[in-house]
Parts: sequence; C-alpha cells; structure tokens
Amino acid sequence: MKSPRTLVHQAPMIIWGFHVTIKKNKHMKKFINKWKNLAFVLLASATTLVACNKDLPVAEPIVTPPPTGSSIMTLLDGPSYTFMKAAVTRAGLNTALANANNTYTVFAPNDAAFIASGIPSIAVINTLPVPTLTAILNYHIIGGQVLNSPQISEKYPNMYLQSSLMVAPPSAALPSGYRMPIGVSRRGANVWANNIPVTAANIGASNGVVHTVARLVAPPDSTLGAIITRDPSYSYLAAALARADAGPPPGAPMLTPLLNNALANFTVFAPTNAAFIAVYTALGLGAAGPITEASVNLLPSATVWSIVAYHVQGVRAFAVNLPAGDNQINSILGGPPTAPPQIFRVALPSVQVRGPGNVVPTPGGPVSFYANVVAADKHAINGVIHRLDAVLLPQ
Amino acid sequence: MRKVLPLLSVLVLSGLFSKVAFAQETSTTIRGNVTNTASKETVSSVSVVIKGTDIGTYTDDKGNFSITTKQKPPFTLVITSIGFEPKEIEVTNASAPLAITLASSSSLGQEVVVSATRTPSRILESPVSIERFGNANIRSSPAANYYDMVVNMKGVDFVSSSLTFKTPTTRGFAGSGNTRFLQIMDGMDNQAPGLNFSVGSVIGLTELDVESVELLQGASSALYGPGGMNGTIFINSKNPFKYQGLSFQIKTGIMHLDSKNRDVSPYYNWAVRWAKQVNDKFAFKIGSELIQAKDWVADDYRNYQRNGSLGNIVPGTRDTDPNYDGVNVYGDETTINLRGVLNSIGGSIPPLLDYINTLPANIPVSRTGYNEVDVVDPNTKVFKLSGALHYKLKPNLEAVLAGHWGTGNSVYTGTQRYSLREFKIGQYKFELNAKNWFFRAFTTQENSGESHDLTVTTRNFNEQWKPSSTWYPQYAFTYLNAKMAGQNDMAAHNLARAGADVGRPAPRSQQFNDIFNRVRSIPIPVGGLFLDKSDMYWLEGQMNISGLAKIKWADILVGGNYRQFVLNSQGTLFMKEAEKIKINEVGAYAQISKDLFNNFLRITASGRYDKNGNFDGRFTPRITAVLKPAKNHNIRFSYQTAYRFPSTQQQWIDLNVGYRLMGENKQLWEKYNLIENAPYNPNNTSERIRYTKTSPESVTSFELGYKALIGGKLLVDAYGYLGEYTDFLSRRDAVQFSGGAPGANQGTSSLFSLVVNAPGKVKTSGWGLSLDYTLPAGFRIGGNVSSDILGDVPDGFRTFFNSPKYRTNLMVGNDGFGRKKLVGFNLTWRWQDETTWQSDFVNGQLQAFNIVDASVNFKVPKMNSLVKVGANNLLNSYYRTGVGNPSIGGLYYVSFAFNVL
Repeated sequence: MKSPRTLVHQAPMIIWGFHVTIKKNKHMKKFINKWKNLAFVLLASATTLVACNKDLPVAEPIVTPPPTGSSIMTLLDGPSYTFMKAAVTRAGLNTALANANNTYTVFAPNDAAFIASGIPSIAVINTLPVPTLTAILNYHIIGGQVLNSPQISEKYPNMYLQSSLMVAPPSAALPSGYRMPIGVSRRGANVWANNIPVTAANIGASNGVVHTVARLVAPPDSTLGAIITRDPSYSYLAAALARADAGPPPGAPMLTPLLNNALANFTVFAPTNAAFIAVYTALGLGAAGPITEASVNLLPSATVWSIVAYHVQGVRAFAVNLPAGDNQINSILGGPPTAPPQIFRVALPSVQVRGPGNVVPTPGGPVSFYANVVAADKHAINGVIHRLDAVLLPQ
Repeated sequence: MRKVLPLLSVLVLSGLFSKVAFAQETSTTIRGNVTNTASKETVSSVSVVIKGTDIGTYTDDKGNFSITTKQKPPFTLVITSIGFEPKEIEVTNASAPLAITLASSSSLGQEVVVSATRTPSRILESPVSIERFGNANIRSSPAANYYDMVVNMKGVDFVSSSLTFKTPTTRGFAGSGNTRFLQIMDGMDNQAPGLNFSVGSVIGLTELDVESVELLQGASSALYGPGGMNGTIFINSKNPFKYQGLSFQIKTGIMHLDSKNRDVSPYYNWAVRWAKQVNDKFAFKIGSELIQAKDWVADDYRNYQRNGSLGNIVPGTRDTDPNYDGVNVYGDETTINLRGVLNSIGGSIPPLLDYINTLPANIPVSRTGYNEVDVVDPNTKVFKLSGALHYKLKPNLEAVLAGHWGTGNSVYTGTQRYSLREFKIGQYKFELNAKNWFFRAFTTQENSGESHDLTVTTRNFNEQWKPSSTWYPQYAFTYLNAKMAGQNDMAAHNLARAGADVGRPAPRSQQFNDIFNRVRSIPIPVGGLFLDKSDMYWLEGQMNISGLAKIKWADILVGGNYRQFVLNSQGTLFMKEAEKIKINEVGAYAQISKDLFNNFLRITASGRYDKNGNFDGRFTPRITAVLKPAKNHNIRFSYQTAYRFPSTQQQWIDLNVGYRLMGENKQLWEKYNLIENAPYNPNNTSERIRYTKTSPESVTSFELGYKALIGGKLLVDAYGYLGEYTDFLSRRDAVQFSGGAPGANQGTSSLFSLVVNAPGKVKTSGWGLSLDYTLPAGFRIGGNVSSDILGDVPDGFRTFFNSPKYRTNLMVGNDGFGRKKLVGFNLTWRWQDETTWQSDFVNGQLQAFNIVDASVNFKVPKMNSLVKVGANNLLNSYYRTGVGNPSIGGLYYVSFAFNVL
C-alpha cells in the first residue's frame, strides 16, 4: 500500500503536467490557481477519509510445531548408553542423531547389551575400525520413520525395513540404493529387532524414537547361498543344491542363483550332513558304495530339486517370528494341490518341522515325526537359516 | 475474414449511399445555430422540431442546423436538449439564420429511459428500479472506461476478471460469466453464444459512441425474454443523425505504479468516431477504439483444497504442502496418491515393500505448477471497430444496418481462468425503426481465436516437458531415498520435488515459451485450445398497437422474437458427437398500460411466453403500478417473474477438467452410460443420482420503490425487494463406478459435475437508497447504499450468491465552475463489505474493500476539447472483486478529447 504522502506527492505532478500543456491560456491558469487548492483539499480529505484496504490475503505456510523433547543424541547421554554414545560419536553419527529436522527409529543397545555382545569396554569400541563400527551402528537405525511398537506388525512374516546401512548406493539399477533391511516384529508386548529382544520400547525423542535392545544387532555379511556352499557342515546340502540345479523340473528356477540374490527374503531349513546321510541310507543309496555328498547324484535331479525347494520359504522368519502352535506354511515348492505345505509345531524355544513324507514305519503303521531346529536364526543378507536334524520330505 | 466481411460491406455501402443524390422539392429551409447562454459555446445534438409535426433535425457538432420543409412559415420550433431549459421559437421568416441560445438547467430526474417499459418515459416515473447515465456523465467521470461507471450505480456488483473483462450484476449472484444478467447493446443481446459471458467490455460500443446506459434491476424476462433474471443493462449508441462530426479521444495512463506485480507500464485507450448526415435521409457513422495495457495480475497463491468441483482455502505453500494447489497457480491441479506409485515400486523391488507399507495410505502429491503471471499473456487489449448506416425511408421510418466487430486479449474466470487470446466476436444487425413499431434481425458470430484454458494448458504443458508417468516415479524414488536417509517427511517431499523437477523449464525461458506456445495451440484435451465458433441468430419485432390503431383507452404493445444458437466447438467444449448443436427459442410478449384516476395511478401489465426446443414453454407475467401522490413524487410497485433456460454450456458442455464438467442434455448422460449405470453422491455413496430432466430456473420478485425530486434539487430513490428462485440451476458432484456399485468390486471410478435443479426455493431480499443533491455553483453531491441478502439455504448448497451484504458509493463533483465554468472535477468513494465467494473456480472469503476514484477536467473551448486527468483507485490500494480474480491497483491517466459531445 502506498502511503497517502506518496499520493499527495503524485497529484501535483499530474497537475503540473497539465499546466504545461495549456500554459498559453492565461485565464485558464488563473482558474487553476484559484481552484486547484480546493481540488487538493478535496483529494486530501478523500485520502484521509478512507482507510487503505486490508492487505490481500497471502498463502500461509503449514507450520509444523517445533519438535519438543530431547533429541536421540541427548537420550544417549543417559547413564546406561555410555557405550552407545561413544560408538555413535566415534562413527560420526552424532550430528545426524542430534539434528532436530531428521527422523529416525534407533535400536540402541545399552551398556549391558554391548558387554553381552562381547564388547566389554568403551576402550574396545575405540579400537574398532570406524567403517566397521559405522556399518554396525547404521544397521540399528531406520531413517525417516518414527516406529513405535503399536505400528510394528504382529503378523507373520514380520516387517523388514531398510536400515541406514547402505550396501549399494543409488544407481540406475537400484534407484533408491540398497539398504540392509532389518526385521522388526512384535508379538503382544514383546518387540524384536531381528531376533534380538527389545528391552525398553518407545523412548520418545524430538527427532524419532529409541528402543533399547538386549544385544547388538549384527548386520549379515553373506548370502544364504554363500553360507551353504562355504560351511562344511552343510556340504551335503550344497551337493544337493548343485544336483537340483543340474536339471530342475520344467519351468522351475535354479535354486543357487535364488539363494544368492541379495534382494530376496528366504527362510532356509538347512538339514545337517547327518540328516542327509540318514535319508540316503533309508533310500538305499548306500548299496552303490559308501554314502558321500555325491550320493545325491543317484537321485533324479528334479526329485532333488523338489526336496531342496521344500526346505525354503519365500519369507524371512526368525524363530521368534514363527507363529506359535501347529501351522502349515508353504515352501517355495508351492502350495496345495501341487505341493504340500510344511507342517510346523512352534513352542519356543523349540521349533519343529515336518513334511508329509516324514514318517517312520512302525508295526502299527507309519508314524510321522518332526525334524527339530537345532540351531536357529543364522542371519544372511537375504534370509535366515535354521539348522534341521532331519530332511523334510514333501511326500 | 468471415466476420469482417459484413462490416466491410457496411463501410462500402456507406460510401455508395453518400453519393446518392436526393431530389429536392420546392420547400423552405430554416437555418440556425444554438449556443449556451452562459458560456457562449455552441451546443450540438440539440433537437429542433417543428411543433406538431415529425419534421425535425439535430444540431451538428458546430451547433448548426437546417430544416427543409414544405410547410410555410409561420410555425414554431421546439428546441430541446438534456441539461437545458426547453425553448420554443416562432419562425416567421425563413430567410434569416436563427441564433438561438439555451440556458442550462439541472437534468436531475429529467432523463428519459426506454428500457423500463419499452417505451420512453421520465426516469422519475419508471415503474421499476432503473439507473441511468448518459454521455455527459461519461465525459466527466473518473472511470478510465465508460463500462466501469456502472459500478457506481446503486445495487451493482462488478466483477473484474481482467482490466478488459468486467461483468456487472444486480441483486446478487455476481460472477465473471453471469448468465442471470442480460446485456443488450443497441437492442442486441451480446452474450457470447458458446462461452456464455456477455462481451460488453470487449465488443461493446466504443466510448465515443455511447449515448446512454440504462440499468434495469431485477427480473425483466417479461419484456426481454429469458436470461434477465436479476437485471439487464442497456447500452445505447449515438444516432448519426443526432451526433455528427469527427471526434477522437486519446487517453494515456500508467499502471502498476508500485511495481508490485509488474513493472510500471502504460495504459492506452484511443477512440475515434466519425458520423455524418449526408442529407435529410441518410447518415452514417464509423468508429474504432483500442485499449492496450499490461493486465492486472491474479496473484492469489493461497492453497486450495479441492473436492470435486467443491473446495476451500486451506493453509499451505509449495514448501509446506506436497499437495499444494495454489488458486492462481496452474498445473498443480494434477495430483495423485503417491502410494500407488510407491506400491508399484514395492512390487518391482520387494525389499522396499515393508518400508512402503509403513507409510500413510494416502500421500497426495501435486505436480509443480506455474503462477498465472508466468503463463498468461501480459498484454491485454481490446480493439473495436463499428459502423452503421441509417436511412430514413420516411421521416418516421429509419432503416439501420450496423456492424460491431471486436477482438482482444483478456482473461475470463469460468470453471477455470481462460486466456481469451485473439478472441473475435462480431454482431451484425438490420433494423427498421418506426414511431410505433420496429423490426430487428441480428447475428452474433463468435470465434474463440487462440483462447485457451490456463489450467488445462499448463497441466498439459507439464505432461509435455515431463510426463507424469515419469515425474511421479522419479519423485517417489527420491522421496523414499530421502526418507531412508533420515529426512523428515516434508524435507523428503521437497527433495523429491527438486529431483523430479530437474529439467523443468524456467518461466518465460525460451524452452518454456516454445513448449507452452505449442501446447496452447493444440485443441483440448491434448492441449488447451478452444475451437469455439458458435453463432447466434435473432429476429425480433414489436408494435405499439394503440399508436397504430389510435386506441386511446390504453397503451398496448406486442412483440415477439426467435433465436437460434448454433454451437460449434469441434469437441473442445461441447459434446463432440452432437456438433453442430442447434438450439431454438421462440417468444412473444404483450403489454398494456393504463392511467387511472386522472393520472394518479398508472398500471402496466405484461406477459411473455417463451419456448426452447429442449424445454417446456414458460409464461412470465409482470404487473407494475406507479402512484403519483404529488408532482415529482412517485411510488412504484412491481410483481415480476423471470426465468432462464440452462445456458448453452449448462446444456451441452462436455469438458474434462480433472473431473468431467457435463451439460444436462440426456444425450450426454447416455454418452457416459449414466442412465444405465447411475452415479453416486461421492460424499454419501448410499445416494444414487438418477437422471431427471432439468427445468428452466425461475424467479418471482416483488419490489416497492419511491423516487422523488424534492425542490428541484434533491433526487431520492429507494427500493426494497423480495425474490424467490425455483428450480435453481446448480451443479453437483457425482461419481460413477465401472463395477456399478461402490465397494470391493467398484472398479474404476469417474467423477462428474452434473447440472441439476436444486431442491426447494432460494430466497433473496434487499434494498437500496440513493440521494443526489445539487448545490450552488454547479456542485453536486450524492451517495447510495444498497444491500442484498440471501435467505437460508440447505447446508452444503452452493448458490454462487457472492454479493456483499452492504455496499455504498459517495460522490462529489462539479461539471463546470469558475467564471467560464471550464473546470470540473469528480470524486467517488466506493466501499463494499466482505462476502463469501463461491464459484466453480474457487470458493473462499472475499475481503471488503474501498476505492477512491478522482478526476479533474478542463474545457478548452477554442479547440472544442476536453482535457481530463483521472485516477482509478487513487490510493493504489490493491483489491479483488472475486476470489481468484486479479488484484486491481491504481490506474492514472490523462486524456485529451476532441469534439466529444
């Protein structure tokens, strides 16, 4: 709005401009001199008579109230997070976690968790290589999310959310990069990060939320395929995989590339070598000579493919995530009618699995038996391995 | 060229006619000159008539007249002119030229109006509320354009959607394209047949050719047919027999003085008129006007939350609302739920699925828009060209051939803001005028030129530089990435927008102009261009039966008209399958007037019947009474009805503007299978909307008024009215499901905006009061206050009433003071209260505003000229006349007018 002063200033200019155009007319000039004062009075009174219009309304920004409370970094000043604070600071993540404009969900191991995870002192933290430490800590952080326990799904399979551990930066092939997912699950009041229990949930911060965890949540470093092929205690399984991929049933995929796909999610029930030997013996493969990994080559590759695929679920499930009680869950072999589901009995810490073919003949007829998970929750980049004491048989 | 031809022929004919010689019989010729007693100036356009005959003439631009008659002296000449005392002069000797002087007098309350009853009557005795201004008022008004003067009349709302696009309204329901208010220019309804707005400010008369403007408030269908629900404005031109000579006016001004929205820029308004009476029988006139300026800027950048065709203004800016949709920002109407894109990302990259699933189910994101100032042509201009041939077949029978052609750049606010670019409209008329009857035939030819819808164009522009199918996935990926990197939600949105907007053409860059100019030249729906070449044809006649048949006991008037619309938009506006759509309307009316009780009471009854090919016929009666308790005191009462058929757009529009804007015609319902698969109310899907034939909207109004001239100095006019609308034409939103019903199997949904008759009645009431007082020394003051009130309407019902509860005008002026009465001035102050604004474009609260207009003028008699210095919105205090319409600032000008009568 122009001030009235500016306008009064403009008016004489207009009159003056007119003055020039008619200056030859003497009478006119007299009249102007005589009357222009009156015109001014009227103009001035009009100017003072009215108030200016209110300023026209403009767009108002949506004001998000400034975050209240302490930042995540301030929470880590607490007496039980001295290890975590030292680690975060050493990794250089302290600035981000203190930034009020950022948003994070942090699974924070307390001092006891560090010690239980084999890091006895801050001094040890300070000896860890920074990149390693940064990677481990980033795996405890989910960016852009304020995940309080009510938002954590109770359903099986559990949620897998991208942690801040960046494995592959954004590229044309992976436009949003590949951040190592971390499993987040809840059953009632119990919350887990992967298979690590949360001991204190929902500690609110101005820039997110902190859940205290009982151990460090170690990021995986190998794929399922790599673990199986490298671990000698799975040499029979590795041989079976190779046999299966030598000739999958028509239209079926090769299994090794699947288990090496970093973007996938699998749960593998991995039978021990002893379990395979027992099955091969029962099948009479020993008749051709001593049972070795190579004995599997006596079986048709398509049959082997079906048996191995029957041990793989298309979701990632830690033992704590498996639904309690008796359940039927499909493997990647498919579901009925083409393939039977795996049959589960979960009574943590005991997990048992069987297929329809897992029967022993008895005088009273065949009796089914369960394979036992003897070592659960071996975490891989693309899944979880549960070690099994028997081979599952789909028929 | 099609539209220019008739005009050219008018001009060529005028040349031919002027060559024709007319035989003269032996007769007497009286010559003379008329001057003003006080100023000694010559007076033009003075009527000089031989008493008791129809023989007469007007003084030319130098005050001279000559009458040739077979009558021999002695006889009496009657000399009359508005603003002067009438005079009678005995002529005994025809040989000597007569020197006649006229004394000026107050014209307060003395003006003659025609529109109130279709017969001339004193404005004081008009049976209905009427306002008027004449060429003398235009001369001294501060308004930069005569059309703007309408706003100072009482009860008038004025909506400016551009410097050159203005729409007056009375009795509520203001808007840019008001289809309840008729505009009649020299007897021609000047509504654009396709775009439905009145084009008075584009091709109306040139300022120098306006003799008078009459504004009839309230329902007027009884005399003028469908459309005049709320009022009618009549703009009447100068007859070349009466107003002769060459005149021109050069007006130059400045705008945008504070450089708020644009740099300081000039305003030009140049007009010229030449009229010549070739002989007693033939006269012609030609005229032209050019207005050019940098337009006012529509700069409402507030956030608009849309819900179908409804919506409201909410907080939010581009940086704080990912779904920001600015009122005068276009292209940002394109919006989707980002979850759809994120879900498909999750589908192809399963590890991201869980993260995506933790995000809200609804993440509306709009594309980045462009401000109106960046997409609209800054130059607004109007170019008018007109001509007329008048030929007197008999002293009392005049044939008129007239053409008006106009083109321009302007902006109109309808469902969207429309850039009217190189818009052309022509009106061509043949007319026979007798004392007791007339016949008129005219056509309106519309060509939308390069006109385009700014919203549609800018949305399609965005699709051109980066299709939404690319833009949104880029946005979604960047958004996810930023979120996962720990950014808060809004920061992630802003990073995502910056990422997706890589390559976005900067406003007014070469790249921007290249793409934008291409898109605006491609017809809707791919581009934003309208291809509207709709026409209207009109035939009309009227007879004063009592005048012809010498009936003394009453005045009886009958008339009728026929009109045809030929809609042709090549599918860019109207239903494609029904091109060319023809709509026929026919109507007839009669009026009878009688003076009773020794002229104490005059009663007029009129009735009119109209039939539109697509709708049932309608009868609209009107009864008026004028009571004269004393001389110059008149009490008026009227009962009036009026109605309107749905406008051509309300009947036939078929336009996708994010939802489908649809006319009421059954063929359109059938086209979209809306009869078989009826749509639902989007806000309550248990309600199904079935096809029902729409009815014409009608209004009944009662009005009581009082007009008096007290002591010859104080003119009082007051009125109060009640109006009741039935079958109110409105729009409602509807959603159709391809699956037939809402729910799990609803399939795809399509949104429609349907024309419906609102249930129940809409009531309005209002009043107005004006006082005009003549002070000594030529000073006058005046003021008016008026009010329009909308009665209760059901919740959620939109009436588009849009009128403030109160508005007022105050004026002070002098037409000539000083010793030679050469200096004049005018000062007006206008205020209107805040009001709720509803339109298909935007809904919101319109702020109260007040404006001061001022002008000072100086006569230069030696040069027969007038110099005027004027200011519109003197304080340069920005205001808007409608939400979404431009902010209007100060316009300051100097004008030089030569021989302006």
